[in-house]
Amino acid sequence: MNIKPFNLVMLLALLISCSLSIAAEKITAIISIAEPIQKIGIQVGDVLTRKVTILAKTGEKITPKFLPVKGTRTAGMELSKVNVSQAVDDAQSSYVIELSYQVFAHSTEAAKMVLPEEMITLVDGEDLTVPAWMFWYSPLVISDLDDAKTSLLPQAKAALINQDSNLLSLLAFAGLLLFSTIGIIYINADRYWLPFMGGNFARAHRQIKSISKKKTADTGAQKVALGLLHEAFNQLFGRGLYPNNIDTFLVSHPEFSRLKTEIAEFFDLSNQTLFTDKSSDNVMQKILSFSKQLRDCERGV
Amino acid sequence: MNTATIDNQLADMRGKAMKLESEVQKVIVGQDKAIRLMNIAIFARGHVLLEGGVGVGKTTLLQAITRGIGGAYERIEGTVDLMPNDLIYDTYLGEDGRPQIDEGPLLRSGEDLSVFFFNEINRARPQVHALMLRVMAERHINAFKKEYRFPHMLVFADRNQVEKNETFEIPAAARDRFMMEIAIDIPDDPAIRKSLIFNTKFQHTEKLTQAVESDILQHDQLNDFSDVLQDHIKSSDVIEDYALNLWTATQDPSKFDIELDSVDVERLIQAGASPRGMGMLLKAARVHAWLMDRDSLYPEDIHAVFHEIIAHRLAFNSMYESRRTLLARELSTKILDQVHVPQKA
Repeated sequence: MNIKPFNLVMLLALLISCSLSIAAEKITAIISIAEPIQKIGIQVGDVLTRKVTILAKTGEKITPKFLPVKGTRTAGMELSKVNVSQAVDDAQSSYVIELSYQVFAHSTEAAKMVLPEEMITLVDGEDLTVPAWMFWYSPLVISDLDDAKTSLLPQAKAALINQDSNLLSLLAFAGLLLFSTIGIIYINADRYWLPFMGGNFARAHRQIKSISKKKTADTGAQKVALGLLHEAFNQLFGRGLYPNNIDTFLVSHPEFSRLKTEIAEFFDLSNQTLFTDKSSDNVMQKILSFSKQLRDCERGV
Repeated sequence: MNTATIDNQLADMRGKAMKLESEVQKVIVGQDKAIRLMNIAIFARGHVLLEGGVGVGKTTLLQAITRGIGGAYERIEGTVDLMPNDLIYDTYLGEDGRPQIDEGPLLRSGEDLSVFFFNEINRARPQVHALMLRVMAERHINAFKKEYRFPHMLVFADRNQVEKNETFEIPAAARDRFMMEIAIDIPDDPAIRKSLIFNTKFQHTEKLTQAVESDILQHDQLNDFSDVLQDHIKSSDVIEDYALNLWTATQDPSKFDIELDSVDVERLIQAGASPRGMGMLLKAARVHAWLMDRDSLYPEDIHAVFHEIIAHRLAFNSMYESRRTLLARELSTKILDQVHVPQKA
């Protein structure tokens, strides 16, 4: 068989290509290495972790005895932790190997250090190499420190907590408290010097209150108390107020409209007490209560 | 009479009084206040002056009331030539050609007379006034050598307020004999006005008054009942003090800080209300309290009749007499406004 040199070369290339293809399928590779983020300022005791991700054919396993041995100390770096995790699907498996190293070196000057090169051997004997990773070791103190005092910095004043919002809340609360207190005093107190306490009904209420403390059951006192309220009504109305002109009174003083029923009841009570010999229960109490309602109405409470 | 009997009598009569009002209101429209006041006058047994224009329904009103209370109704017209004897007798020529004398309108019905209407009393001469006022006060007269008694008579007199010629104003002392002066005004309500001129039933006065139920009250029982009523209604010390203050205010308004526009109040009053007038005020107020179903006097009872009983009794100084109607109304209103009850402590 006469084989041309060109064809021979092509055949050989095809064979090599096929053999490489078969070999590539068998190779399990490191697809990524995540080194520590910080490369400087590393001091004794710091822990550096590198994460190696390996892609392997399905079924292959990484046996712990072929992994770097935990506790191995190399050039001041101790492998303090080895952790393997696996994710499997139909086509392939991926492994993530976390290697944590703790710095056990000491120096008074900045120095180069490395995370050592590691070898990972798979079940089929294939070795995977994790390359060394260089970083800078930083000493805890500078090497030429003679007098620490010169290097001391004055202690920085602690930052103050911002209390503006709390202060605002406090002021708001204090204002509310003050307003409420004034409101309660305003509603309940009946001294003449308080604002709007000089009205006809305010005066009448004070006098009725004084009478009621002394003589509540005395008919004469009841008549006097009724007279005081009538007088307050008459002064406010500008003329005599009677049941038949309550509506006119309310038109000229609409602030008392909400007491229309009570005013009519007061006139019934007054007529009964002043003009008949029939008695009613708790007359003084009713007068006192009604005079307070009128006073509150007058003050706009 | 025991209390229960009196209470029953009062309630029964109150029902009749209300019935009288409603019956009269059926034929006299827009005069509810006047009808109420006349009802009060009937039960207080007081004579009444009617004040109002011509053709406002005074006669119809009186005829309707007379039909309701029973008894006889007599009427006489006041004229300048009317003499006292015209009230006592009538003279005429009989069938035999000889002069005849019959009893006049005052005597004709005898004791059955319940309402005597003197129309335009101020057109009559003072001599006639004198006779009429005496009969009103004494309720009897001697004529034809015997005594005629009118125990149940109420006099209603109308004054012509429009014309002044040939009129004789009733003096204050004479006015005081009348319990009330009641205004009969033309109604303000347009619907009532329209009805009065378009509704033909108001054109036939006689037929109209026939619609009122007759003899709702017995006129010869009213005097006795009035006494029962007056005894039944009580007045407290407070209301009595109030009435006294009102009386004082009619005599001296300035004591109660009463002021009238363009009037010197200090010089306004020549004479205030008389004791008889105040007595009539309380009498009428008691009737009002009874009509309101109460047994005690309230200020409202006095207010309801105050103007009608007091205003015509006030004697003003001559400079104010020409404005009497207006000033009397204003003064009585101010008195009720300024005199308070209970009195200021």
